[in-house]
Amino acid sequence: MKSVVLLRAVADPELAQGVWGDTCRLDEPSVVALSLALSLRRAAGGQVHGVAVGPPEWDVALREARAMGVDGLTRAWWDDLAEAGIAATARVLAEAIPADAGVVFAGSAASDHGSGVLAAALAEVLGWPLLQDVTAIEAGEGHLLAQVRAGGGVRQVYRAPTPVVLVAARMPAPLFYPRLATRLAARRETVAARAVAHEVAPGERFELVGYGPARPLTRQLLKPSAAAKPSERLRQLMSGGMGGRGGKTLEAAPEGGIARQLADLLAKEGLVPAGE
Amino acid sequence: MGRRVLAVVETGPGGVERRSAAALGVAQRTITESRGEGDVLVVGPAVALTGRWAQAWHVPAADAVALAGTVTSLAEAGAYNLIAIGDTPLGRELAGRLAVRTGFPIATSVLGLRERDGVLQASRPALAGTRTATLALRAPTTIALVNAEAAGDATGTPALPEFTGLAPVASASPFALVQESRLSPWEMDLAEADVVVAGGRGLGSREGFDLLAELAGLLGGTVGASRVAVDNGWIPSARQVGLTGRTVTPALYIACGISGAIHHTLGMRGASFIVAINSDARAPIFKIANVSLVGDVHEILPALIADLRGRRSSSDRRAAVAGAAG
Repeated sequence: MKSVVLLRAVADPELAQGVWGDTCRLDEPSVVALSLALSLRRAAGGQVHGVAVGPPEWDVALREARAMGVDGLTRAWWDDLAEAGIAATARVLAEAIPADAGVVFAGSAASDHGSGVLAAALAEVLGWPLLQDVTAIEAGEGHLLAQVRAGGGVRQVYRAPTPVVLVAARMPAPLFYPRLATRLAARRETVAARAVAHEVAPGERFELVGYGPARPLTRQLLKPSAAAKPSERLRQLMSGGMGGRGGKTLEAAPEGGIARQLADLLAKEGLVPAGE
Repeated sequence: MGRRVLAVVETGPGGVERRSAAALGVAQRTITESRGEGDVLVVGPAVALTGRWAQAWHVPAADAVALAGTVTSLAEAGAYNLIAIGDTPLGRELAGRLAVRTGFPIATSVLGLRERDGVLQASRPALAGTRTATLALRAPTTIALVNAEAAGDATGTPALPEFTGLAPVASASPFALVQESRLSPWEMDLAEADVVVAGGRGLGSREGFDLLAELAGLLGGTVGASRVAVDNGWIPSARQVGLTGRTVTPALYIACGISGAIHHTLGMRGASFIVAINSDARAPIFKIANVSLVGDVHEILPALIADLRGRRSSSDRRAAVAGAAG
């Protein structure tokens, strides 16, 4: 079976200091998706083809995927796609997917500004079903067995028909250590550039008004003493409770009070069930 | 300009799902600021909602493909300016499919919407979360996939709207569930866990990890450890998180008795929400924690476990009541 993995590169300024002076690398969620595709190839044979919609600068990162084991690469681009909408990008991807592909693997969401919507849009364009949060994949008799993280410590296994779009769960990317000779050979490879049919409209664009500061990280200190001066309480809250930052630190309240506060905070974040 | 808004909201036995509540709040604020009106589509049990809704529909359950058909029909009939959807797995698939079907642009990871000179503006994280970008949404209709952290207007006393039941969406899922298992904390791999409860030197002994496993079991997670705990032989090395161990990116990471040396934090700083419990108020782990507790883990953890057990049983009771009613 031929598998397709959606690849994405992200800028990494630290790489520019390296031997090869590269400027971008494969995005971690793409590497997770790639590892699923390669595990399926190991189990059931076939080929893995990498597809990306991105500028020529991505080629250096895509060649890393070649060194990791993909059999072929296609990169589609057209300058107007720089700010294309998700539906337009999905249509371009759909055109680049080989007709004999049985499964498309996608990462959970791009780590720079991803939303995880593209795979769903692609599934809609292709008319294929979509399964999310996949952690492992096996080949069955004429179908796939996809292991899914269902939350709450529950693991589910689904029988998935083909063709299908599978979205990898948010997981740490596995480490690949291609041999140097393999990496050097991959760096000389040509990435097939695919012209985008100009009838693919880029879609409605949003006008960028400007940038502002990032939303600050939510921090909580449990819990400021009621007896503390207002200025001290404010400093504790603003500092996130760092003893090393000079704020007064507070001990756990007796009789489980602090634990109740923590449980309430976790419930507010939707991480545990709410109380009565 | 009065805007017409459609909010798509997922509900469960406990009411509106948290990430959908953010979409509901953002929709309400847009309606209030623009002096417009809004309709709501509830996916799941019909529950009380905040805000005033001109029309309220509900479908008992749906897969994204069928739901996209329903929302497309509503959107065509309703001439909405904004369709607000919560950033859930179902919401993401719905938004993607809806964008292709309708041609409406999607604003993703929306943190807030506001009216400026008659133009709707959305803010969203940009540049890997280091900045917030503001975008002008000039399209006649926009789909907003609303971040769970979005600031909205979900205030007021919830009331049960007069729901119109839509025909149950047929669940024609092509995926057949062949196996389902609840993994114990020791069976679950660190990489696939949504919740990791990790212990370090502060636990003091191998027995301390039994407490962690109990908490992890309640949260549906697994157990991790710092290098010190592994070196002391309290837990197998496969559970080590850090530079010479595993890297984890769970939704919730609870560090118990872990000082937070760089060796350890390199393996867990990608967690979405970090809770640190340590008796040393100067522990470096507090610098990256969302919630910092200064105290003895042996006092805090049993109390936390008891509290969570109480919440779980009341949640199970609510689900049983909702199931019987449904």
